[in-house]
Amino acid sequence: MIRSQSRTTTFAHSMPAAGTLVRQSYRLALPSRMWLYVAACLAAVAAMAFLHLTQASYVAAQVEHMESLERGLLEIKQHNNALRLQIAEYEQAARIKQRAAALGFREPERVEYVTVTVPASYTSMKGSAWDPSQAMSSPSSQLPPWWIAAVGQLSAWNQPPVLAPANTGP
Amino acid sequence: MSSSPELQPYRRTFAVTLALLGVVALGIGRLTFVQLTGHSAVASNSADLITLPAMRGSIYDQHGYLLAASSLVYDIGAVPALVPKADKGVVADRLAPLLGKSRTELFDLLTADATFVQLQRGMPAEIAKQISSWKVPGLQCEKRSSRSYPNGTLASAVTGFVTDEGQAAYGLESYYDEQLRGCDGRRQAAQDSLGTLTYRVQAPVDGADLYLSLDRNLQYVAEDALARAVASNDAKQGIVVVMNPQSGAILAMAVMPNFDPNRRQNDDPAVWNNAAISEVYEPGSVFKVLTIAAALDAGVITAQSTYYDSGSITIGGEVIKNSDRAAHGETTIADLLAHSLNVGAAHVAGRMGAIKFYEYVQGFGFTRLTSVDLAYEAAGILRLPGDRDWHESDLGTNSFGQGLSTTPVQMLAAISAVANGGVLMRPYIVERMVQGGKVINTVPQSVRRVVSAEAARQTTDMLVDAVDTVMTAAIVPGYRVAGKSGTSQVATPFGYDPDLTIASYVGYVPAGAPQLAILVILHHPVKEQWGTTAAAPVFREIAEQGLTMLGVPPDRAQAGQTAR
Repeated sequence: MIRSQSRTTTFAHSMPAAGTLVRQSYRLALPSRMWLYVAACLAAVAAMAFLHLTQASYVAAQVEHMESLERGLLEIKQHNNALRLQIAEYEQAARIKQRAAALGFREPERVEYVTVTVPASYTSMKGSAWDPSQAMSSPSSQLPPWWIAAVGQLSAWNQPPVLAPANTGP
Repeated sequence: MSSSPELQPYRRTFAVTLALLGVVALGIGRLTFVQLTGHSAVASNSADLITLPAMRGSIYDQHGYLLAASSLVYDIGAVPALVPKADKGVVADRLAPLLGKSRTELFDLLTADATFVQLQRGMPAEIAKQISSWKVPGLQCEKRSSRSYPNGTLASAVTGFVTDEGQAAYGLESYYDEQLRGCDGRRQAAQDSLGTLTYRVQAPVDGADLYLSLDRNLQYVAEDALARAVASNDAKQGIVVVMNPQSGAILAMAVMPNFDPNRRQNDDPAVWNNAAISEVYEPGSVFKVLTIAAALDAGVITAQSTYYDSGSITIGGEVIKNSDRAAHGETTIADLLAHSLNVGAAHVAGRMGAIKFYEYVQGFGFTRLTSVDLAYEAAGILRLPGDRDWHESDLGTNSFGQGLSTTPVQMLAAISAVANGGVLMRPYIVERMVQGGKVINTVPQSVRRVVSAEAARQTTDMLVDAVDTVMTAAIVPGYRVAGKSGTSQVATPFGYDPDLTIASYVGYVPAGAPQLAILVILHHPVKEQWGTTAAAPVFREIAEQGLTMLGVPPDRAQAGQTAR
């Protein structure tokens, strides 16, 4: 402030005719730089505040969205369970028994266990599982394994029922 | 506008001020937007911890049939004061068919002098939506999570239940509560150093699904047969336990009277107890199987041993008689089992001596929990030598299953040890637990070898003979059945009740490679009081149907070569 006052005095001496106007313009022009700094600072603060608020509101909106998705997920799960429960109710043993009786089904009076001859191609296969790749590459048979299995099954059915020997498990 | 250089600073200042005001206006606008739209989310999340509920796991049988699951249900209520007076009659008319209540009952509730009335609980979403769509003031549909048991009373003793408040009670629900419940997630709001809102989120982990060893179809057969036996014999209570003796897996467990876990309001809480594991009883003559197996293993007797049955024997000053009050003379061990002779059992136990006898009894698991994975298991009561209240006469009475108490599952596990070649297995009911993609399988556990395989085989052969010759009610055509009946007296504070009995039958089939071990107990049957006549037919029915269901081929040639 002291410096500006002295400059004003200097100008007043050199240009007395337009002294008043010049004095006023310099009075405004010098603080206006200060105003610019202040304004820039304020703008920066406002921008930061704006960014902060934007971020906060974005997070809030995301959380709200997430919450609604979570609620939806839970409801879908619960609804899924409700449907499973409904299916389970239809599957009740008593209901099936009743329905089967209504359709004319009866409990079996005779259950016959037949001994099925396992085809050799089965036993030669690795493990007990069906393995087409091995069966196809088997040099012992030119016939496809499914054909051997089908023939074996048919011949087993042709034989009279034979009970499993004593002490034989399932 | 003049472009004189003198006015340039004004313009710049004006422009900057405008820009500044614009920024501030934008900030205020955004703040207003957040306040108006995002306020609730920010407000609700900024301070509090939000719990994200986990779904309770489901329970399935071994085939994947659903036995218990959680779902959303609605409680329908009303604030009578808010329901328009003129509409109350119409509302009651429309609600009656939906809620399954009478119009009069609902109208009374809607006109009641109460702040709030509960009209119906646990209604499905469709009905709640329908009621909400009427937009009747005062009618409310409150959403809540509920546990449902789609098979009703089936296996209710095994599953237990979860209360409306979410508390697990009894059975699997209680025993596996921690695993079924899962872990609730949470979301917690926090602020960083700059004051920015952040969230810490922990996703909920849903509860594990339980897959049981229980076979729903076999359970149905067991409950059906037991219910008829209880009704036809006027029995107070009936219990059936079916186990795979080779693994200890429980295939069926039925208790009558049972309860519907979906509707427990009017139940006597006593029925919630799983009597198969929580209640003890005096097993009676079925215990002779263990006495003989132990004596054979100890070398005190052989399969060919005989003893002289004079009709009574005195042990520790107490006279023990046969149930038929007869003397059987020179008797084989096989006949002892076939005719269920108390004198013979006491004679064999006497030859073993108390120390050895009780060693075996404890070896079979009595006095200890079986560790079956169900809530509230009891250990049973057995006085041992050295105990203050043990008396020498206990050796005699214990040898034929009186004077000691055990749970049905303990008894069946012990008999299963004989069926399993002398190895006691730990009974279990949960075969696998599935949580997310993780599967935990239950591995059958052998507890210990109690008797030798030879002793077990000899005992089995004698039991098969007993079924074939005397206890024919338990014969399953085509199969070798090993079994033993029991009829025990009921202890009261004043001694044994002369009128009441506990009729039971235990057996396993096929005898050579048993797949099913079945114990049937009828408490206080009135019409048929003996194990052979009251419980054996139930055993046979369950065994017949169970073998067919499991596809177990016959192990004995039979006329006609058929099996039903």
